[in-house]
Amino acid sequence: MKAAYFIRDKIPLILLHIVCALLLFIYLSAVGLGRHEILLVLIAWLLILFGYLFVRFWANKKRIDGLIDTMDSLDQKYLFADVAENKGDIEQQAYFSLMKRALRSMTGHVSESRREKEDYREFIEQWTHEIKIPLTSIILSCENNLDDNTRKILLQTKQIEDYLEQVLYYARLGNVGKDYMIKEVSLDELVSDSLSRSKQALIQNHIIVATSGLEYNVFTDSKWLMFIINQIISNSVRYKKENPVLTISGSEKGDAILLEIKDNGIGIRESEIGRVFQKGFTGSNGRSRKNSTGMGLYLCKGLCDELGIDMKVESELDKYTNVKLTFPKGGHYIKESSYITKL
Amino acid sequence: MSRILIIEDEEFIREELSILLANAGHEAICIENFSKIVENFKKIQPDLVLLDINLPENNGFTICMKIRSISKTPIIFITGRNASIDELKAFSLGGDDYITKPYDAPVLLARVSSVLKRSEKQPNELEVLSQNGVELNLASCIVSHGEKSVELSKKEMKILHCLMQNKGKYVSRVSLIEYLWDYKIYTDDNALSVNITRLREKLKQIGILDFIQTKRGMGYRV
Repeated sequence: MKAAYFIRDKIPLILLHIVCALLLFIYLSAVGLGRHEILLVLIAWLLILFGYLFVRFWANKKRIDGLIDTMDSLDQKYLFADVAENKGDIEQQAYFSLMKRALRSMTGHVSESRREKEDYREFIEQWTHEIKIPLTSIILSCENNLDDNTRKILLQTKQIEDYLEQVLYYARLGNVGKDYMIKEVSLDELVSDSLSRSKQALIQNHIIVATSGLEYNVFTDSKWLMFIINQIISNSVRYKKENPVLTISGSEKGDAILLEIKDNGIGIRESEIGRVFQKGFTGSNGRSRKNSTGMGLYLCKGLCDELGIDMKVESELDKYTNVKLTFPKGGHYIKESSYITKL
Repeated sequence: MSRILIIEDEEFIREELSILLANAGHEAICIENFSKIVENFKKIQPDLVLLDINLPENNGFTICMKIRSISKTPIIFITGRNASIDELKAFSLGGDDYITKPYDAPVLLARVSSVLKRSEKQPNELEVLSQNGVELNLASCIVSHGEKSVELSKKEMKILHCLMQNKGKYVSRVSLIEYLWDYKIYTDDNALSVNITRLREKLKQIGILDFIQTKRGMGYRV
């Protein structure tokens, strides 16, 4: 609080005092009191007035500073009215209790919508699990009766699966800390499972796949990593060009393991490469293909961040896209509040 | 042939699973009465159990515990639940593997055979296949005919293996490619043609002619 503002606030009071002092001066002159005595009375008046103002200013400043400190130290700022001391005059107390009421009702609304959001999230998670049952039935039934038609159906169920996983992992994003299990995962097994899942899409799109250097093991959560790799492969299939080739290779780099998934597809514009991890960003590629949600890479990046995997995308328009996943070797990154198990 | 017990309450999945396992050469038995699972388990004495988690009456974890208290039979959980806590629970109760729905059939079969292999219940695969005097040794990748023999590449061996397994039937190019993919050989249409040509040449070297027949639109046959 600045002194100037305080004084501006008190202008009516000061004016009132000046008027009263003038009136007193006129009255005392009229009763014939000497100039010196009158001046003395007026000086005493002014001293008392400014003394009073100064003390008020000082007290107010201390109080406001105290409140600001309380606010700064709070994590949940909306709890301010409950935490701060309610001292001051009647008017201030009235304002204070009004503010308290407003904040209470807001807190109520916030916790209600938080509950609603949690319910919704649980419902979505439940739903994705339930929809998997008929989906599994379709897949099994097709696999048992493989022909050209069922292969087409399998190609489509793969897409349903990908979208379903996006929903599930979106619902869980931010809750990764509660749901992961770090263990030693073989890149070879993981990549071959993932390729096997995308088999129909890759074969039917005549994509040549080459793998190398996958003998490394990394410490991570296999199901999250599987999701990430699946999404990257799906992107490579979606944004392919003629004579598509997909190369998946592992290598050791210093004290990290690097997994690269590289395609020779349509690539990403240089101006857009910085934004591929943004939520809902589809770019000119997505717009020209229409069926892009802009969620895949956003989710992958989010999950990688939570798992401590470094994810980078390199690309040249009309040439290639290379997604690099770097895993810290040996020791691994663990977020607080998570549990780890080595099986 | 291994005997596999399927404990899954979704009828459709249960049936398709048993077809899948039967096609892969296993004997699949399903449980339809969920109140007497353990009694049935004792009666059937399977080599492997595929166990769902969400079941009527007892859930899969309880059943796993009950089975573990009387037997060491390998158990693979198959479930739609994919939270880590469930996976952790499955392993800590003595499950041997954990597969989430929707699963991919080749992956499921591979996991089944690797668990069986671990428990040594997997019958040894026939190491030598033979037909019309042509012998294929799977372990050494060598095909022989009479006195002569030639070494095949892994890819050529798998192609010949697949064709010989389906003796007399036409195997389409797509099926062949899919078969190779299941063995981590990521081949494509053009490469397959090259491999078939090379395989035929190698067979010719040891005096086997017209062993692999081609029919347009149908595929290959031996």
